[in-house]
Amino acid sequence: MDQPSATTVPIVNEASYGRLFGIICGNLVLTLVTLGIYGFWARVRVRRYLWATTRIAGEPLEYTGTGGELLRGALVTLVLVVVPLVLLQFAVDYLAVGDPFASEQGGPGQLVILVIVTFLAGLAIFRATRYRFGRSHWMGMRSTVRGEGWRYAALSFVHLAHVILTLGLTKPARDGALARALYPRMLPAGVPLTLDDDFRAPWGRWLVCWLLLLPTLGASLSWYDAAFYRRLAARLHWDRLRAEVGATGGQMLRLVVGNLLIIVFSLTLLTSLASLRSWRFWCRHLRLQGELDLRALRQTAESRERTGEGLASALDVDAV
Amino acid sequence: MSTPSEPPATAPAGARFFDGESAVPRAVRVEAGATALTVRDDEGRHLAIWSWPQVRVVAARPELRLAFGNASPRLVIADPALAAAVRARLPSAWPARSRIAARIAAATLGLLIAGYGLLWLLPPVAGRWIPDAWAASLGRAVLRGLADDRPFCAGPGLADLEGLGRRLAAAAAAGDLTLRLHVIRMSVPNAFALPGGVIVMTSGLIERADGPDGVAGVLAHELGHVVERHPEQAVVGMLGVQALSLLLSIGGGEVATVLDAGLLLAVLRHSREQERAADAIGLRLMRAEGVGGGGLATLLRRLDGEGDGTPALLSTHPGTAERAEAASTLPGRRPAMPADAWRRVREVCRTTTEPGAPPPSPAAPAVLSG
Repeated sequence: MDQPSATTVPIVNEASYGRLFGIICGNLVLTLVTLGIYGFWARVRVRRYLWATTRIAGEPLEYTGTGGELLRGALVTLVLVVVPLVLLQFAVDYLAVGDPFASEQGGPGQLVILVIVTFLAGLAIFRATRYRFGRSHWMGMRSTVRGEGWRYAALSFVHLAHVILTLGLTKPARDGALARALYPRMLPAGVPLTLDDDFRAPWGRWLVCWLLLLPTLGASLSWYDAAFYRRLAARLHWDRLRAEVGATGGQMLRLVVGNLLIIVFSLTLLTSLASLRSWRFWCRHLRLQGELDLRALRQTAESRERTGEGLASALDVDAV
Repeated sequence: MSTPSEPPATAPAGARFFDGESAVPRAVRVEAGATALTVRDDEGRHLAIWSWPQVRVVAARPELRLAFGNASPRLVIADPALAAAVRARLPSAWPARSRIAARIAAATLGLLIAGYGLLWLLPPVAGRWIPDAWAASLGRAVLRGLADDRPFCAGPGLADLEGLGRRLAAAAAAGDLTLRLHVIRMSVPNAFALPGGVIVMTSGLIERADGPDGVAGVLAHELGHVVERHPEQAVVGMLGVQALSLLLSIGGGEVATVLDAGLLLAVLRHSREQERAADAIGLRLMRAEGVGGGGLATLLRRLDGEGDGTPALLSTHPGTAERAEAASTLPGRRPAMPADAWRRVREVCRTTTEPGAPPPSPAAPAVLSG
């Protein structure tokens, strides 16, 4: 198997909804009994199952994160971010208008916190992605994401501002900038992704979608997302492999609506099942074309994120 | 685990090794020895020697995948017989699991203690340390939100109510608190105490009272909250609830909603305890002023009859029957105010401020000193 393989590299997910449901039930009971503490280990159990049942070129992924890391990350975030933010809000209100509780009526402290939290959300997404990548192994190779995320957070914040000011019209500019800031920094199994310089989000598709947002109650967003990911994949390369996404807008819409129904009608208790649906969706529609040269995959010495995704969890920007 | 005299289990094939430096797998020979797992290549060279205590199972099915501690190399055993032999020598996973379970139990206990402290221990202490100026400012802010552009009642009866409040408050030993009494024109009968000594009644409550004793009883109850600094405690408690809720949501994930519901039940129980305390203080103030509890009992029963049927577990107040029974046993020496004053109070909302305007300033705010 040390010779390069040509054509399509298979990505297969063999997870069972029944087996995952069993994991979820056990997780729910233990999480309730421990007032949420076990929730960190519960998340790890689900991820280990999803990763372990996914095979790329016949070899399964492996998730090496631990519940202890996630718990430590949450505590670090609580102590170093949340508490200081709350105190900062009181301080800003007191210094600005002499009333530390002024934000109860829309004081300046609230605005300052909103700005900071919006910036931190971008940082949280980057750090959470870096953590999960760093805990993902394939064929004994660890993946990683380069950088600390500050540039990504700044880009996310600045671009969000113009998206809000234009009522969403300039969303493709933000999507493109963030993709260019993130994907080239990813090193799956030690080999960096490359994104073509001419990658741009599909503006034409977005303009039509934007006009149809209200009449379709947001459903047109799936149509744009499918086009975005198809174009992104076509410009992404991993060594001699090229990515391809075959999903259509209709398929993405069915995924989103289905997940929403699962989450709403289960009162969020079956969110992990929705995660499995998304996971299997991407395994089905993402293809790697070209030669897989295992000799080109070398271990990286990038630093490991020692704690988990506490900031992402606190700001509720988790994925799986 | 086999004894040292048994030959180690091996297999010529059915295992592959990833060395953690490159992704190229190598077909290897595996020896499950007495003290270590040995991996050799086809030429017999050692690739890895893993002592059993540090070998861990990454996955058990469909192939046995092993790792050495947190290192990157992986050994994958496809041969069922070899996998079974290796499994037999693997250390038990229970010691590690027990350590994790102990840590989770300790963290849960820590969370319970933190929750108890944040909800029950900290508010009574911290509530008394909030400066009066801050509390008054917060009370004004909350009052603006509650009034929601409704007019404040400003008739002559307001001064009579304030006088009643001062007389009832005279029996309270509460430190230096300034009492501010307001009436809002709102059909829903209600009364509440806010931070900074602010007490608000609705016109709906006054309309439903048969006489001044009922209103006096409600006012005395709210004074009980002010004296005990329950509104200030609620501010501190609310911060604690938000912190706990955030903690529960970070870890709780899908069950965060259920955990939040449990937190809400705890908060409601605490609220009922505070209401009982305010009831007791209110009755004491009424007794000192010589006001009977019959009017309050009648008003409570009338309001209960109009109630929304909230189950006791979800109610912020103790059961009405219990409260009315306690009030009805209090004898009175005289009405809470003369008949003409009561008439003015009943008509207090014939004169109001403009909607959205601030409440009228009291003629002489009662200062509770003790």
